[in-house]
Amino acid sequence: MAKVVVKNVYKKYEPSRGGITAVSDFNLSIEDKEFLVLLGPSGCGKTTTLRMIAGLEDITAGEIYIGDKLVNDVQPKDRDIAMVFQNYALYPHMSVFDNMAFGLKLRKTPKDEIKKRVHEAARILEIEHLLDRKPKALSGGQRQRVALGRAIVREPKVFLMDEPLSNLDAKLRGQMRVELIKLHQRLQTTIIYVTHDQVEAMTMGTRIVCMRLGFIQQVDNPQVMYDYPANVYVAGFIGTPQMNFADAKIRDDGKNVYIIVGNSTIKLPESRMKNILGKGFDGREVIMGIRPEALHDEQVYIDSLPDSTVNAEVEVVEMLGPEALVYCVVEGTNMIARFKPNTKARHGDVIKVAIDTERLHIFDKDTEKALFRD
Amino acid sequence: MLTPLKKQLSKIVPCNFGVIDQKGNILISSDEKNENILPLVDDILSSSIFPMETSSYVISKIKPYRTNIFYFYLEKKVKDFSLVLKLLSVMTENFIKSYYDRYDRAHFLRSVIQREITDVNMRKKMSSYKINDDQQRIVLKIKTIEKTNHSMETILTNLFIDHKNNYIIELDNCDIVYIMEADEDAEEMAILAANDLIATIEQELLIPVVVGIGKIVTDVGSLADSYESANLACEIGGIFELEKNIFTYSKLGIGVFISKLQKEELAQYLNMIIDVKLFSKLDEEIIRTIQKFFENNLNISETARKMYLHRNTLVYRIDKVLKQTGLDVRNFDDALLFKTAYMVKSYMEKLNDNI
Ligand SMILES: Nc1ncnc2c1ncn2[C@@H]1O[C@H](COP(=O)(O)OP(=O)(O)O)[C@@H](O)[C@H]1O
Ligand SMILES: [Mg+2]
Repeated sequence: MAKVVVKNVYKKYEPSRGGITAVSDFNLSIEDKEFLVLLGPSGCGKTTTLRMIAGLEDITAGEIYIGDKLVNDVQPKDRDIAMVFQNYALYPHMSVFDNMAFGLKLRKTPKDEIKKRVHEAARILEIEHLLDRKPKALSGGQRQRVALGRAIVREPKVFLMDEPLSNLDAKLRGQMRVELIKLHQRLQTTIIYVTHDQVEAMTMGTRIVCMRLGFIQQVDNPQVMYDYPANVYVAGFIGTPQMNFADAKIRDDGKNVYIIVGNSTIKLPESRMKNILGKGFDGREVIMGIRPEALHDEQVYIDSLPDSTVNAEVEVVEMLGPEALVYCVVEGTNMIARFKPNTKARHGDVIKVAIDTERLHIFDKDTEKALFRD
Repeated sequence: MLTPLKKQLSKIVPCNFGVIDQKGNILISSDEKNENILPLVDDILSSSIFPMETSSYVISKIKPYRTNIFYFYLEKKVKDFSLVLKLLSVMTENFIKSYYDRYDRAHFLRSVIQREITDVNMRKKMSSYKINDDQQRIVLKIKTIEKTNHSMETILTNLFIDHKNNYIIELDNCDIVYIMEADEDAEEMAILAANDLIATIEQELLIPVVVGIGKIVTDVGSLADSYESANLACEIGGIFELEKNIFTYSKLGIGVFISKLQKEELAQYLNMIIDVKLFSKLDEEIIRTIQKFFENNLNISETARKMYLHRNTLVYRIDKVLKQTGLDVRNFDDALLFKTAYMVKSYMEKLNDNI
């Protein structure tokens, strides 16, 4: 159990190894007992960050603290951490008990202590009944738990997990996601978790750190990150189907703010106006963002949102059971709408679509940053 | 080394037993405190009659291996203790013998990969150790920065325990060599093994390791070649293949040639294929992008998806390279030139690092 503080950390690999600055000015304070997720596409520096916290990779500049202690010069094994990777292998001839105990034996932990810790870990993982089994006799999910057990018996202050679920098939991955959430509740320990999968990040993280090219883009809890993405990149990375984007222009007539997209004019509500009205944005080119579920085709919405209703040409309708994804063209831009499954939209129709302007996003065209963030 | 034996015997022997070596160390014992046997050790070592018998113990002498001597003791609390002692002694002798056989074989293979044995001697030992010459093998070199007091070896031994014909050899520095038998897909098998061992070592010991995978060889004499190529892969793999901890000799490609050139030759060559000044001006984002583009086999859509870039952004960057260097990396030939230039440049950096 510990806080982890990362201060102005940089990682530049040696010139002979490509010389890439994998992590730039990383600043983050991770609270005790937090489930913190590092999220971003391949190559954005997640693994490098995690390995620097572990001490498996040198840091080029900056400071890392684990539980108030500066660990820059502390060996990984003395940092009170445990790692979990996507790859793991169990010792085939050893029982589940011995598989979990082995690392402790190597570290000359007293026998009684080993026994206590292994049983405790097995209890937490609900595999007590499997302690005598050999790995051969376990299912995939059970093996994964044994691998987790190895980390748990170390009783670390911080767990560092690097895409632990990415080798599993979709079904097992879904199950293990839930298991990990439970595990975190039981362990009451700090977990730093790396993934490129935004669904994992959204479902598991108490906070998400969204990264790109070694830079932190945004740190927030999942809902805030979803509702108030700081820039176009985060907005597009989080959420499936992706947020819809369209080039647009701002008009500020002194009383109201409008977004002009193609031939349509959309009036912004109070809440979305406040950082814009009278701030000299009139005529500014922006990128408008709308999540698929902020588009509505039901009459009640169209009636109540006359200032933000646009025409949409329907191209494809995908019925998914609980919802329908409607691929359409709005003012020359391809968009995806998430409608109720009873939608009447059909291929070839031109329909009216109401935009929920309370959930409209506006980004500066040059900086790609959100113009308003609450 | 005798712990597995102890585990086995504990299940079947209902009274105290144990093994003592010729220096009087109690190697294994069913009674952790050893209070009854300790006072007898000196007598055992000096006794000339075996089986030896005391008021509560019978003791046999075993010579499983060369001049090494061991003693097995058994409490006289079982029926027919003489017979039981004989049986247990034979079991123990076989156990120790096979342990040493394996140890000897590893020792032998170590001299083979380090070319410290003559051909004639090698042939002789191969037949006495019953090591099959006609067998496809591949050598993995596991490199780390820290001494681990045999922990790494212990982990590997337990991880690969099912592969009786594979050998784990500790070298004098911190490195370990793993000699694998593999018939089909030898390299893939080696990569799987490497993945497993890296994950396990890094997780259990929290030390970073890299693995070099040597070339596939088909006879024992060539193991030294495989070892050397694994070494080379470890040495230079990181220069040519980024962000990996497993380097395969066969994938080094032209890297092997580059690593054989002198600095001056490298500089000359670099100048020949590219304007070095322009090349050095490429910013990191571009280099990073092109690397990923190569990793994804010059596939624009795939690269854009993986890097989460807009396709146009990627194309724009590729065009920028074309403008700055005259190389259009969408074309195979130019891509090859770019890649080679990049490899040469990295290798020169490495040489500079080492000075
Ligand atoms: N060992 C390494 N040597 C050189 N460059 C590396 C190494 N590991 C990663 N990189 C580079 O650093 C960047 C970040 O990589 P990484 O941290 O693995 O990202 P992620 O885990 O988000 O995919 C990438 O551009 C990658 O090429
Ligand atoms: Mg990674």
